[in-house]
Amino acid sequence: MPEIYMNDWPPFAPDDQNRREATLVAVKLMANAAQTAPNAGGVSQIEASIVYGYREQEQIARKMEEIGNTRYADTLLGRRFLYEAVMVRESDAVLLLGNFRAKDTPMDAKCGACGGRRDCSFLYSRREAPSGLIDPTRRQHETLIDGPLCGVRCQDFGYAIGSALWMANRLLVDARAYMTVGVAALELGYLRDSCICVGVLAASLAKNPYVDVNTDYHVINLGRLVDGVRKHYALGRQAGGDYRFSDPGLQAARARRREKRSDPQDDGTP
Amino acid sequence: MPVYDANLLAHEKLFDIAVFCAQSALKAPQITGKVELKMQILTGEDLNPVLEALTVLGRIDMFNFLSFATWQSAAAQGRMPVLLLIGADVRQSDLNYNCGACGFPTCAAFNQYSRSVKPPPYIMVKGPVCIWRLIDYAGACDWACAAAWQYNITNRIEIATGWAAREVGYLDECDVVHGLPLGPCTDLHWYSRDAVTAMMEYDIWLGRMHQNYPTLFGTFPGEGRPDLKIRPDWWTQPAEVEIKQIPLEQFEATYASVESDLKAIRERVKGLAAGQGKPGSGKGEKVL
Repeated sequence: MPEIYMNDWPPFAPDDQNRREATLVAVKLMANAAQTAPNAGGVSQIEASIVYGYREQEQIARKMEEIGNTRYADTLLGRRFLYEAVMVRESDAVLLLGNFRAKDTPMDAKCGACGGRRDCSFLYSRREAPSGLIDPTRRQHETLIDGPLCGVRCQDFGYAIGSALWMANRLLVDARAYMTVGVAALELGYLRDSCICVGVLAASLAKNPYVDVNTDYHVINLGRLVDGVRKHYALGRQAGGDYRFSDPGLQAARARRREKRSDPQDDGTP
Repeated sequence: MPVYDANLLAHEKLFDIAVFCAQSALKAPQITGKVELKMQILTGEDLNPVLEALTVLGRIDMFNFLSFATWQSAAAQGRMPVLLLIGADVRQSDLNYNCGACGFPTCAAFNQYSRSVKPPPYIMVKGPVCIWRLIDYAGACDWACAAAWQYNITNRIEIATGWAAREVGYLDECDVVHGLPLGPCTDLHWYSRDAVTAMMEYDIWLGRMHQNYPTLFGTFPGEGRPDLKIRPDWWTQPAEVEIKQIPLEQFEATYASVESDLKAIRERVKGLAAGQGKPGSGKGEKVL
């Protein structure tokens, strides 16, 4: 029988890859769950992309750090971008979910969500829309998201995210949804048909990476701590002598044994 | 030892499922972490005004009437579902994301606009809405549905029932309310609806198809007269699509009647509530 061995350390080693690949299966099921979520009129409107791998996740994390340190510098939201970038790195995989109808093909249900009127005028009057058909080629926008968006479609988008999270919950995979991840992914060109995107991070680790977050998380986190140990250890060992001729550790061990033999309380029982 | 009627118990315990669904909605992970859900459970006779409101709203939006017919079919079988109402406030943003999803460059500008707009009576959603708050609200609704699904209880998340319930006074402070009917305990009730099957005769079906998908029935348009095939011997009586403006004033009387009828139902519910302590106290033990 071939053996599949799993161990989360060291990260990205083959044994850890076995673990990550199992999470990847769960994330694929989460993507499917998003597609089966309730929606108004049974209309297909959700696209999904799974980002998996060190380099791919690092790219999203860096874009989040760029946004956090520029457009939202020194704000609580800026910090969220920075902290959640760490979570992207710590995740086994990232599920990107987007809605490709909320901007270009609204539900036209006259529900009032977009503008508080019993019609869709708020949304349509802010778009180029000859004959009520929104021009999809108008993509330029200055804000993170090109609003206004259709409320019914966004409600459906929420259902999709909820179903993906529910599937993760059933599979005992830690997962949470993030606006910050989605915004960065859109700017990187993922889910190019979608006007709004949310990143669902997923991991199967001993410690849920999305909760119990310490302050300054962007500089104090497991990755940085491990790196700190490596940095200091290499410096500290340089004070050592020539282990081939003398070893202070050996001398200390012998001294401990001598002391133990002379201890009257010690009857030799282990 | 007593022997229990499991069919009867299955329906009686739908109330417990509604509670599980509410617990699930409250547990749903949120992106903003700031959406506070407001929920109520309606059963038995308390549902009557909601069903009545569905017929009234059905005059302006047909899907309300479809929902009513589905409720009524369950009632006729003596297997009334339990209704979980889920509402939230989404009309203001305290997020400060300034993301633009609502159409404004900042949350402050959105809030200013929101304060300036008074939602008209009997509007489905009291917009404008903060998109991220709405997404979290929807995620919670989804977890309620998923919990029902997990317990194998047929259900359907509906704006119709939530809207009707809000119009007669339940969760009326919420900007958006959805209803989650739970049960009856059967395979399908809220999908492949037998109530609708009975209403939809072949000619009505076909008429809707012609109206919704006219190109499907179109003939060769090269002669400059795009005929529609609306009968088997279509060449004998070709039809065509006529586009005409809808005179909105003809609906004014309908809108006025909807407003006054909803108001009357609302007053009645208020009156019942005054007699029983608070609205929705049909069993004398519910909380509000």
